[in-house]
Amino acid sequence: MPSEKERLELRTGKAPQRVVEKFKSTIRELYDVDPEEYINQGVRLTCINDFCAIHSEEISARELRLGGLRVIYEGLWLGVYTEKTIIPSTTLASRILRERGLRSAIIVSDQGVKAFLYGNDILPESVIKKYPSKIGIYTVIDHSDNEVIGFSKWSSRKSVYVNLYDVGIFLRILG
Amino acid sequence: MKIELYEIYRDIYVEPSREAREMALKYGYLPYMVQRYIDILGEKGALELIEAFEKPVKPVVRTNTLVTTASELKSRLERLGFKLEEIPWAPGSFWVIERPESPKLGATHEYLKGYYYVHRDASSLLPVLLLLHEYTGDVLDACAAPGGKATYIAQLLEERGGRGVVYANDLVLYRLKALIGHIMRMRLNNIVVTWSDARALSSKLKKKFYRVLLDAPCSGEGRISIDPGRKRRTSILDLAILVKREIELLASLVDVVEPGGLIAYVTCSIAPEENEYVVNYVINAKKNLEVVEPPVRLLDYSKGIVEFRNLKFSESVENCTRLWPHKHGLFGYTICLLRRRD
Repeated sequence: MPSEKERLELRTGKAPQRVVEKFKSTIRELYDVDPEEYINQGVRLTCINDFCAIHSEEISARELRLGGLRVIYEGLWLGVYTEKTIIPSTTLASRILRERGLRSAIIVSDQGVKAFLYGNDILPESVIKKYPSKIGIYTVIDHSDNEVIGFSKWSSRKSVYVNLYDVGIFLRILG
Repeated sequence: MKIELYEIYRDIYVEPSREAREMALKYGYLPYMVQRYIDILGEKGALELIEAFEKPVKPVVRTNTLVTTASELKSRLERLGFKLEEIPWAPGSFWVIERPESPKLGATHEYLKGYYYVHRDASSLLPVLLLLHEYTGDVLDACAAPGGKATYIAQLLEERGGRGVVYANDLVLYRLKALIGHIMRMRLNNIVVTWSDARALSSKLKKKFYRVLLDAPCSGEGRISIDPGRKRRTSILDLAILVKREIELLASLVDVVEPGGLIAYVTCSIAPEENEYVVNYVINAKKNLEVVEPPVRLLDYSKGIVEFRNLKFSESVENCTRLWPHKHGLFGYTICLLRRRD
């Protein structure tokens, strides 16, 4: 059986226009901002196995590509792209929320944060404060330091905030 | 530049003495390695070195100053049960003196939020501080993954006004995955990651750099304290093969250095074969290089080795910086700063 090292599959390239449009529309709906203010350059994808990072395109990297080098990541981490959803990165969300104030967000208690960072969902009793979301997707914020730690989606069927991704991916997927 | 493996093997081959064999047997080393320690340090010094390798090193947390402050990080980690001690020559970095059972240093919420990077040892901070002393601008990190130095360089460039991009390259994809993870986790936006054999960079890059870091894949002999398997992993033939690759890497990357620029040749090895020998080989072949003194004396480094057995190196390799486990309490480490003259 091949090891994880041997099974890595890398795909990189310009993000398809439909992905960019959907991404911008999600940002508009989540934060009520003009996405062009935050995404004003080319957008690329770097996918490692099933995980796809959306990131900005940099002029310096374009020059390397022209020289024949394989550029596999560059710029600012903008978002996460999966078959099911396209959502902002914690970095981009932090920036927008810092500049525009809180919206589409839940502030979560210690217990909820701990579970969430293990990849689990968030129970309603762990939510200290909720800022409404038009599309049911919530930026998850740690109450202890107001840091964005991931994204969740409310499921009325399960009565939990389903984990869409959390910064624990840096250990579980990108470690 | 044609490099013959057999010439390297001939140059570095040694028949270990009875003393070296006995000491090697007692401590579990390959005899040629112990012979080297005796040749450089004498029997007493060799024993001190071997004993130092048995001691644990202190891991280091480096504050991501783009996200938090050193004092805030210190107080947060101390609340979790860690005990930290500031490294006097590396602002914002701490030795971890005590650790709780849980959480692990690389799994705290602060880590996931990008507040810090974990280094196995403080030695890896040094080449970055020396190469980037009073510098801003683009930097090439030719063998960058998993990213301890690349993320540090990116952070320093940002701290100094945001001028400059880190071009971080590596050949090994699973290590590049970790590098990308660190870049995203630490919220850095001034690193471009490429996937290439570093020996091919000089033909593919259309630009040159005033600062290049070559942390060459090496025997890792300086890290025996955390990986005792290295006491027996590298045969003398394996070492010759590594040395050949190290020469090829350095010789090709010199071509992407701007005239007047610096390339730092770095290994986590104490073997002169992998350090002064390599640097001397390339200096002699290229004619446009010299090893320069570190721009600042951050700690009491040892000097490079100019004579090793019957090998005599260029005098300038004395300017290389050596860290010895038994003298400095760090990994064995060698840093040579080479300036391109033409």
